[in-house]
Order: sequence, then structure tokens, then C-alpha cells
Amino acid sequence: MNPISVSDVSKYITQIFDSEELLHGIKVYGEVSGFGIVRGNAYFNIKDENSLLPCVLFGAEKYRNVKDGDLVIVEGGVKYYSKGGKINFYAISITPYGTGYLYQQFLLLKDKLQKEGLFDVGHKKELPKNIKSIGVITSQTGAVIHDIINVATRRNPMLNIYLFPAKVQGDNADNTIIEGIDYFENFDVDVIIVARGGGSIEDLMPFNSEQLARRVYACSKPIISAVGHETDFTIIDFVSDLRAPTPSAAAELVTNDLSFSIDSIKDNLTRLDYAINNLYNQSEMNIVNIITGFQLFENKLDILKQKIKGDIKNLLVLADKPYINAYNFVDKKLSILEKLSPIQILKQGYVIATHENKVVSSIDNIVIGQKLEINFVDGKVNTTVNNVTKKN
Amino acid sequence: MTFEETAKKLEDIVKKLEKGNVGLEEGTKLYEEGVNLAKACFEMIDKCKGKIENVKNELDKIIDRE
Repeated sequence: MNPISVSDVSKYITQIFDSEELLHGIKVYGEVSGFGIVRGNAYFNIKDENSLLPCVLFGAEKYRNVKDGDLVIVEGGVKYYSKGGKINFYAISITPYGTGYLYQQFLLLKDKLQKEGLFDVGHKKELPKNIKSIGVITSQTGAVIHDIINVATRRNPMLNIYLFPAKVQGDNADNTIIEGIDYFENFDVDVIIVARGGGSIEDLMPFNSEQLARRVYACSKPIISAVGHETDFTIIDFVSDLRAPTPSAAAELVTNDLSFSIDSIKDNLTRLDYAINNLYNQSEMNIVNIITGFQLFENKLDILKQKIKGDIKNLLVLADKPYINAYNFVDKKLSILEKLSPIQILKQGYVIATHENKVVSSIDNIVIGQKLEINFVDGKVNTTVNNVTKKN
Repeated sequence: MTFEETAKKLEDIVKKLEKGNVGLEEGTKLYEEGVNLAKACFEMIDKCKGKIENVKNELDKIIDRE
């Protein structure tokens, strides 16, 4: 490989950071350190116990009173600063972390439970194979339960899904979630999913409850937590047996080991049609060389095409929306096939020249005086070449 | 045949057809068999569709009865 310039590599790194959606338009909370304003721009870090993120904020006059140790939320995005070879968080605003107290509580509890061993990997239960029933603890309304049902049934329509409607924010929400765990522990489900959509740190507080964490730890069945967005972490995520980045991902996790999903049948069906079309295509190509076989072949092909179309239509009656894609796919292939048919081409007024039953597609080997057959849709003409002009 | 067996057979047929080396007639036969197997799979799936239930409703009923 040839060496490339520093600028080229930097450009590439810049592009990677620019195109990563997760790194733009985000809010990050943490503690301020090394805060300073130089020529009106603020340079500082925000950090938590494990990590540190260098930040830059242009036009920082109104943030003069920010000081080290403040808990803040910075809004902005990550960019690569190629001149300095550094990654910076470019903040557009700094707001005090209104719930600094909540965050402190969160950190304290996390620390305490970690020391007690509630997050130990050794205690985490593995998901069973062939999951047949799941218990979902989440809000009865809202997108979460629908997402889970949609994803899970599409992948495994035989899965039983039981919903325990729980409060997922506000007072007493953690207790209703605990009730759900109590219920499902003695109910015929293989796995329990505790789920909630995204929200502010206040909204997610029930999932930081110590009581809930201890109940999750003590549960004899595997629990998957799927709380908030991929970037949100709550205590239940640390103590659960498996953390799913989103509710849909949780639904995928419980339908993973199915050897033959509805998707795989659908996939096989598509491949089946693709393969048969290939076979017909191949046959069609062979037959192009035998002009006399045209009509016979086309009739046969027609019948087969109708049959494929009919088969797929019948399947559509049995199956739901997902198969429409497969159908459209096959339909498209069929119309391409139809256009390729030599008879179709002849019907449009084109003719095919042959010599000794072989298609002549170039004038390169034609000499004056040679006999050629010109094949029309309704018959053929024998001719003798009296002039050859090659196109430049 | 169980669902798994049917699905497996379908997959085998698809692989055979994809490999090529089959004549027009044998290919058509395989195709037909494959479509029938897929149909059988869908029917089986349809028959044992999983339940989607709200357990608390059941719970409320029990509480009401008491």
C-alpha cells in the first residue's frame, strides 16, 4: 500500500466523526474540570468517575461563573480537530445539572450495590435456549410494547408475550415494576423484560430504585433491562442479567436462537424464486441458439410464469405484509424475464440473423456472398450478403 | 413433519436449486415442492401463533371475583 498524507488520514477521521449520528446533537452530563476562558472561548473538561471529555465552547462570556466541580449538562457534538490531532466536544450550551442531587444519589447507590456484588458477572443468568414465553413489564400505552410485539412476532410468531402493565415513571412506579417481577416469577415465562422508552433522568428515576435493583438481583428468572435510549444507563441496567440498548433490541434478544424464523422462511421463498428464474433464464439463453425452439419455449415459460405468480399470490393469502416484499421482488424478476424473451423482441419488429443455426451478432465474420437467415416473428428469409459496412 | 423439519427441508431444496445442475423439469418440480413446504410452514405458524395477553386484566378479574 502506498503511504498517504497526514491530511488525508485526518480528513477521513473527520468524516467518520461527522457522520456518526450518535455523537451529534447530544446532551452529556458530568462534572466540570479545568474550566478556563481564553479570548472569549471556554475550554474545559467534563468527567465522571471513569472518563473525561475535553470541551470547547465558542463565545462563552455568559458562562463566566461556571467553576470546576459543577455538575452540568453540555449540549453539542463531537468533532475531530485535525490541526491539533484531538477530539473535542463542541458545546453550544452549558446548563447546570438541575438534578445534581439525583445524579449524586445515583452514583452513591451504584457504588454501594457494586461493592455488595449485585453487578457481579458471575451472578448473571444466561438466557435459556428456545424461549417460548416472555413476560414484559412496561407501560400499557405507548410505543414500547408495540415495538416489542412487532419485532418479536415477526421473528418468532409462536412466541407467547404477556404484558404486565406497570407505571414507568413517577411515584411508586418502582413498586409496580416489582409487582410485575413477583407476578412473572411464578408464571409460565422463560424470560422477563423490563422496558421503557427514552426520557429525562427524572423520568428514568424509578429504574434507579434500590428496592427494584435488589428485587431484580433476587429474581430466579433471567431479566433483560431495556430502559431509555442506547446512551441512557440506569441502575437496573447494571444489575439485570442482560442489558438491551432499546426495547426492540430486547425483543431481538429473546428471538435470537430460533433456528427457523418467519424471516428465514420468507428468505428461502425469495431464494427459491430467484433460483427458478435463473434456471429459466439459463434455459432461455440456451434456446436463443435454437431459433426453431422459440415458440415452444415461450409457451412453456408462460405457463410456468403464471404458475409462479399464482403460487406467490396464494401464499399472500396465508401470510401478512412481510411477504409483499418477496412478491414484489419475484414480480419484478418476472417482468425482466418477460422483456428478455426473444419472441418479445421479435414482436417489436426486430429480426435475428442466423448462420447455420447460430445467432450472428457481429459483422466481423461475415463475408460477401455468405448466406444468412433473417428470422422474423412469423417466419424466416434466406439471403445472400452483397455488402458489408463496419461501423466505426 | 414438525415445523423445524419442514423448514429444514425447504432450506435443502433451496440449496439444491441454487446449486444449479438441474434440468428445467427437475427444477420446476423442486420449485413446486419448495413452495408447498413454505406454504406448510406458514400454515403451521398460523396454527400455533403465540398468545399476546395483558396479564393484569386477568388479575383484575380475579380480584373482582373475590
